[in-house]
Amino acid sequence: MTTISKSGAPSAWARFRSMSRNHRSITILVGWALIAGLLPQIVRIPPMSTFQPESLWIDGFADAGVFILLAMGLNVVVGLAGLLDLGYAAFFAIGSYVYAFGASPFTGVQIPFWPMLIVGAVIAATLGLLLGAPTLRLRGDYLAIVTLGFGEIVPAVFLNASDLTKGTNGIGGIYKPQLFGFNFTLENPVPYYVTMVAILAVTMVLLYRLQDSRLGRAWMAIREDELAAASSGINTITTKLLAFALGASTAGLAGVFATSKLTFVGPGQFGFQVSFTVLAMVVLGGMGNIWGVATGAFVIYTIQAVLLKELNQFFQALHVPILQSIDFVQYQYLLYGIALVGMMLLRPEGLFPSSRRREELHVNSEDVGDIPPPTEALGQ
Amino acid sequence: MTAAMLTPLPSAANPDLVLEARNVTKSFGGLVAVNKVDLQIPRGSIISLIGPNGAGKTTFFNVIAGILDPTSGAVEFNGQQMVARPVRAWLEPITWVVPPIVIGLVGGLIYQASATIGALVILAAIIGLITMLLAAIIRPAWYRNMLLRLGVFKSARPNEMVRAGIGRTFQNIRLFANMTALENVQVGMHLKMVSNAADALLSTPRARAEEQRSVITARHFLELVGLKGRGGQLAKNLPYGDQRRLEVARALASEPTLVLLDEPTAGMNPNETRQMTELISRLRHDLGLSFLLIEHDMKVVMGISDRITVLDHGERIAEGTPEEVRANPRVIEAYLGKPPE
Repeated sequence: MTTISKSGAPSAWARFRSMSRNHRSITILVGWALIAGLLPQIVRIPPMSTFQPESLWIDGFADAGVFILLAMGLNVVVGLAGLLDLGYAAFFAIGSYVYAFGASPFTGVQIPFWPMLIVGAVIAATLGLLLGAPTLRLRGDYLAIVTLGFGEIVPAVFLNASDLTKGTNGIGGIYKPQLFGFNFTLENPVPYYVTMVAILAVTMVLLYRLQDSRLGRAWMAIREDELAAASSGINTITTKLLAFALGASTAGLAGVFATSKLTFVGPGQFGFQVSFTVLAMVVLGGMGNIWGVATGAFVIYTIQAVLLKELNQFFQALHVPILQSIDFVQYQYLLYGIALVGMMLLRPEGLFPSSRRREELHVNSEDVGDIPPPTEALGQ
Repeated sequence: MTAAMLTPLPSAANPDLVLEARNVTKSFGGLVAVNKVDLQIPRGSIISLIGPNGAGKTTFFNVIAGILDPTSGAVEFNGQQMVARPVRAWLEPITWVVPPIVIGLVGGLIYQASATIGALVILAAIIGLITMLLAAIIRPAWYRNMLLRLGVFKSARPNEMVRAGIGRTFQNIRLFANMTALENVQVGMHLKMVSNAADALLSTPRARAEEQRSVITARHFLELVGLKGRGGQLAKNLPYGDQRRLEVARALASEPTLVLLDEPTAGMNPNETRQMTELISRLRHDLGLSFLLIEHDMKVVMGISDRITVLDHGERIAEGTPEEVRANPRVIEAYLGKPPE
């Protein structure tokens, strides 16, 4: 990758690489600004512009941003700390309901959107701590089952506490954001789009900083070997709880944003398929690599929201014998499943693996040397 | 368990001792893996623990390192009682779970009478629980003392033993395989660094400076064990002998006063074994560290140990200088079996 030109001076690419490494936060912000500027231009070009009008595209991008945010948050829990969380949608639900309680005619409260972003994140993080605490002794499969349970409990609480949440009907008419007297509207998705990109850029900067800090190393150490991490002085309890809390706070942010855009929240939006979709995004994108996870989430969301619909119309327009009668949107999860199976067989580290993980899964066992299997029964 | 044992008191014992294990017993169900073993580690000495396979050496090690709770007996480190049989440990989860449930039920009853007050009571219970949880996380010492007042004694956890000054390696190498050698050592320096999550999020000058310093210090530790220039390699890609050395570097990175080495030369060739032996002697000389070794290689054991403790079937059968142990008939019997009459 890094090429040295004949004169010995580093190539432009090498210089760019080293600059982006040394000023990563700036690189991320510039990167997001470029993406934010380019995406609306790309969807004006023919193949994209024939699918749907530009405003629908931008609206879709803002929705995709919600899933990118969720995937980046789950990446902290699953990709960095190695805690398999199958109930991540619970925190998305909590963030959503926090905004619904804070800014809807149902409760009669109207707190502005911007502070609610912080409030939603903090409350989700706190509940992340509470739900994380009972799972601390568990590992692997057992942890996954318990988080799965929590993922079902939280929407069930919102469904059944009908005095407080209107149950199945959900809370509607939630207020939209305002900025200096400017009202966000359903007709114009651009403000939502810009807000989402800003949230994503800032979140990504913060997550990268965490990943490369003392705390990030502690998370990775726990993922690699919990006992060795504890024997290196890491307090595994607080470190794992922090991973849960930070992952949950990102989901809380996503929930507040999604609710302010949809102006409605109901318990049906937070089923297992949301947790599953986000986990699939993390795995397909490449666990542990923040940009990879974000790209994976974007690609998957765009495919399910746009491309599948387009496939239907495409095959119908061409009158292809069998394919024209298939509704691809209905086969979403089948396609996910096939994609996951194929991925695990062909490229288990994901589309864009972190450099570490790539080596981990594609290394010859001869290179590793003769390591005796862990036979010790050290379990506590 | 007497009340005196609950409070960590400075021992009246010899202040020259780094670690003192008294009467440590650990049984798994009916199997007594370690039976009433005493061990004293004077400051700056190298003590070895030997014995046939299954003698209970590693179990004893894990008790000292805070991984296993002993069935009885106690371990004192620098005069502080760190490890003993837990007392009323079952009380701890109950104090967490029962009060919120009771308040929640009461709140539920009140809720049927008056929705506002009931909701407030439940909210107060949740906030109280969260405050307790945060307090326990942020102030572990305070939480520990509070548990002691309730009569709950818990042995130190492995990370608390590291904080007290014990570093260790494992019998089966347990490196962070998918992290670089340098990162492995940096993880070992975890307790020597102070920047927290907020520092990381804001990328404060303190955190950045500390991060750079940690890289330099980590390189120094790698150099110390003879891994200079290999910091960028993933731990699992290192040759076997280097992995053993990296484990030692990681254990040293926490700047311990006592290092527990579980078979440091297992699987090494004679040359690597000699290097490791030299390293241990050098560390004792230069840094004044104390060592507790488990080792099967008798040349290593006899060469560097000040004193040797021999375990067999969980019991201490001999203790003394290498010469004494070598001549001890019980030791020979344990290793070779009883000579025919």
